[in-house]
Amino acid sequence: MKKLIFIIAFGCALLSCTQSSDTAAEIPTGFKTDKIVANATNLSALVSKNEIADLVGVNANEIKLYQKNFDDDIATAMLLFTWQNGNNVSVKINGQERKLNGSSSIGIGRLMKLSKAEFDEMYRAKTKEEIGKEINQMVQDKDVDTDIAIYEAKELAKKAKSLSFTKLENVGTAAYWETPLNVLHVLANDIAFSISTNLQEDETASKQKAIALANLIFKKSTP
Amino acid sequence: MKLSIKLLTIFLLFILSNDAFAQQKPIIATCETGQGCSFQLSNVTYEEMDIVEGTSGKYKNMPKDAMIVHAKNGNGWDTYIEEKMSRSELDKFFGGDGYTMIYLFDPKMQPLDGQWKIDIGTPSTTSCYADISSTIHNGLAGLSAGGLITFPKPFNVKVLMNHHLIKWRMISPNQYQGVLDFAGGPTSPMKLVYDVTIVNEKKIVGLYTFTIKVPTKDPCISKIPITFICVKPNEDQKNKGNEIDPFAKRKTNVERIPEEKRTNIERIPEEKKTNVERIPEEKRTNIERIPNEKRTNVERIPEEKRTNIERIPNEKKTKVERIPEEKRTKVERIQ
Repeated sequence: MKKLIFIIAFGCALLSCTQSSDTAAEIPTGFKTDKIVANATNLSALVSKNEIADLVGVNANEIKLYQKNFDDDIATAMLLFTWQNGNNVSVKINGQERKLNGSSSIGIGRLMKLSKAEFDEMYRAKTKEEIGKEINQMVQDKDVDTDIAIYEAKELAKKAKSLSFTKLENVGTAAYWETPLNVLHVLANDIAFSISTNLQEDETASKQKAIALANLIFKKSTP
Repeated sequence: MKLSIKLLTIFLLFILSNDAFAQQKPIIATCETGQGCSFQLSNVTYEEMDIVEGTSGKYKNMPKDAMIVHAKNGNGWDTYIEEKMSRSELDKFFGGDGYTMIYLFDPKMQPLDGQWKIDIGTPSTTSCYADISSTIHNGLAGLSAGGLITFPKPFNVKVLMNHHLIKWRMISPNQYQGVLDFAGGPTSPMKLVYDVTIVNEKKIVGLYTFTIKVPTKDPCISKIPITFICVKPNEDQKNKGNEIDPFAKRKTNVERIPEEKRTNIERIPEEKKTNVERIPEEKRTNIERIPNEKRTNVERIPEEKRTNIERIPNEKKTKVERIPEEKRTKVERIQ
């Protein structure tokens, strides 16, 4: 009986110590950021359609690539792997309902070179004073079009209600999970990148897939 | 903490919903399934949109947080007003990542800089009592920009016909319409409508429609098509995406690497600098030197055949009388 209790206790201890690859993505020994940096403007060379297909459970042929890069800036650019999810969505056009094919996506991008302190500063929870100051600056900025400043300030004020960044342990050098957008922000040594998820799944499942993709990127960047 | 943010949000929304902060221009979203949306600020006000589209208050009365959405539908576009979703929600609805920004332009439309060729098509006219088509046709060459074009970034359709009296509006993400009322107003006797479609980054098609109204006669309508083709894009645009330093734009935020850590690359010792073997002096060329005596095949002209020009005998050389020394000059030298 004592033996059995010991085995169960040992098993439990072992399970609690072992991190699942769904919740952890530690940087492997020998990891280098060179590959990520070299492919900064061509992220499809870093992750293939087949790998995304395996991760999200769809046929690779159904996945399309879309490069979202409106500013010609890698810090805002995202490479989206998108596919039709089989759900119909509808919009009302002149009172009539029009059906559209629903789409899902998973993306990588927003590459930045940051120190850990800069990364933490970027994604830490902001105080109400800081948000107020940010909105105030936006509205008073004479270089920004008045209408755009008002729209952006309203968006920021609305977002403040639900926006949250949760620090994740055991993912990269540092990592934050952003909701409600469901985006993983990862720092790997001095390179930060983001993994966006727009899946027909709950937040936990989306987070697990994002962490799994971060893990894959780390492994592929380790010679 | 959550309550404070809620209160702050309510306060800010109250302040921003005040008339003094009311937006003058609507947001236009361009959305495509699987690509999400891009957002731009309209270049005309709510009231002006009603005027150009001939609607009575459709845009003026729309909620100020609503958006005009152009949704891709096959080869065309559906347009509707979205009142409920936020920008992020709309972007995700169309399969995007949810990150959005408002631009002053449509960030997806940017024709290439370079050499553009203009082809002005054959005019077609109806009910015209005079041959105005050829006059207009000749005048168009000067109005439309062509040759080497550097498009403004972001793209502005005005570059295709820049006149302060033309009112441009966006019909769909790749279609614009410019209207020039020569006398102003809907009763104008002469009107020019310029429809422009950006087919892709290397092709733009346009159609000029001139309408001339004369009392007691049917209006004279002349239509002239025009096509812009990019025949040679600038080289630097082709190389876009192969940047050596992808973080170059963000360099200001990048901490300087201390001098001692700058590089791990070992310096190549002087003696290893090149693997290319030096060509020994004696092997430098296989070209045979031309011996001095063979340098030319041109036969030397014998001394006696060199010229037939008779030499002027010394005594005939000049008849000019020499000015005597004392008459030569009376001009004083300037000091």
